[in-house]
Parts: sequence; C-alpha cells; structure tokens
Amino acid sequence: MKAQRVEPDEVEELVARAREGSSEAFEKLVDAHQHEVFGLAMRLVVDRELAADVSQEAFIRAWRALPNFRGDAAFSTWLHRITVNVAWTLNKRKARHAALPLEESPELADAGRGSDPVRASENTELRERLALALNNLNPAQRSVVVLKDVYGWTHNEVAESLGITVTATKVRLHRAHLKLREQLHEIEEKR
Amino acid sequence: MNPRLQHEFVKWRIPEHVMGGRALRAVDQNHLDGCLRCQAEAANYRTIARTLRSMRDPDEKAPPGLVMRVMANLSRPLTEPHRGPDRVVVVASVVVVAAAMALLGRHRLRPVS
Repeated sequence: MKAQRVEPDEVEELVARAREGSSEAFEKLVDAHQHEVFGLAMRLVVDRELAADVSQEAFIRAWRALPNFRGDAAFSTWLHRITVNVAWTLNKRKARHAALPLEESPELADAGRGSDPVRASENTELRERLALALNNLNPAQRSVVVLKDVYGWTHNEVAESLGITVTATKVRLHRAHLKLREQLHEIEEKR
Repeated sequence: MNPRLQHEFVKWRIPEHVMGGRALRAVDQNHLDGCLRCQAEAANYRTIARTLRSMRDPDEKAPPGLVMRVMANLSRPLTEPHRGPDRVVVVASVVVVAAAMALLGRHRLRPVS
C-alpha cells in the first residue's frame, strides 16, 4: 500500500506525459498522491467510504482536465482544488445521513488504528480531540478550517474554491473557530 | 468601554488575532496584555492553530485498491450531482399554476354585466 515516492522534477515529467495521454504516467501520479488526496477528502467529508469515492472522482476529473492544466499552480495544489470541488458535490450524499453523535464519529473510532511511534507523542490526544471537534462542525465551517488552517490556503484561495466571497470566508472562519473552541471545551468536560 | 464588555470584545477577537494574524487595536492589546484569562484563551487558540497545522499529515491511508479503481474507471462517465427538478422551482411552479387557476375560476364566476 506504500505510495511511490516521486520527486518534484519527476512529477512535472509525469504530468507532461499524462497530459499527452499516458495512463501509465497518470497511474504513477495517482499512486504518489493517493494518500494526501484521501486525507484531504477524509477531513472534508468525515466518512471513509465517501472519502474514497471523492478521491476516485477527483483523480478521474483530474485526468480529464489535465489537458487544461497550465501548471500555474503545483500539480498537488490543483489536485486539492479538484478534490474540494468533488467533496462539495458528493457531500450531499452524506447530508442524507443523520449527524453522528460524538461517540460514533468514525475518526474517534479509528483513532487507535494504524498508530505509529511518531504519533505517540503528547500531541496525539489533542489531535484526536481536535479531529473530533472538527468533525462536529457543519460541512461549510469544517471546509474553511480544513483549507485555511490545516492546508494553509489563503482566504482568496478558499473563497475561490468554495464559490464564496473573501468576506464570507472570513466570517465563516471566525464562527468556525469559536465553535471549534466551544466543541473542544465540551469534549474536555465529557472526559 | 465598560471593562467587562472590553473583556468580552477582546475574547471574541482573539481567534482572528491568533489564528488569522489580525492585529488588535492598541486598547484591545492593552487589555490582552493585562488579562490572564484572555492570555489563556490566546494560548488555547495558538495550540489549536499549531495542532491543526500538524493535521495535514493524514491520519489514515487511502484504502487499498484505490489506484486500481481509479485506473479502471478513467473512461466511464463522471458522477454527476442529482439533476432532478429543484424543489424551489417545483414549489414555485405549483404556486403559479394554482394562482392562475384561481384567477381563471374567479373570472369565469364573475357575472356578466
């Protein structure tokens, strides 16, 4: 399951070949980026199965849009934007399910899985609580926090990707931060 | 400003200040510098910001077989969002038709003068 390590120069070359229609080159790109795309999708939709669908769809859209990829942004940045768009589209499916109570949040249930020694740091517990709090934000708030605070996008990039104004992004982000703090407090009190 | 209101105001601005890098007004900064509760709140948000940044590294790996699934589906049609009629459009259409029928009915019932 380990993804191939691809150096930046190699990514450029693979992208160039994939743009010309090489599915072999594209497969290498998918292999190299699958975990980060899945990770972003998972943060956005909080559902493993849906995140897998989002990842698959994002790669397929990327393949089809590759001829239009001008290389203004890094390939991974471009891929992340597609992932965000697909997550928004497919997230409607998730909205049909009732919100999961805190105890049943998949990320909490999975928290102990796949742990490695690096993660066994003092930060782990806070990460788990924060992931839980993040999952309990509404999708609109969660998206801005994930893109701005986790992935370091600018307000402009977030606004453009979500189809909202920069002001709306800032307002949403501010509310999300307050909510996140409140959620963390509630989670701490329950423990 | 009333000290309590000042405190609440600064507390409300702390997330933007800490996580968004937005500068506080001098008067608010003075309050923050002298208020232990606000300083603790700012410290909490700094920890949240740092931890969120660390979460970019995905907790979970992509499911096995994702690459194969992608490659097997490269030529199939994309999943499109539901294209059924928008609920608002349906409701609006029903209202318009009902209004038109009501108007028509009134017109027919009106006695000829």
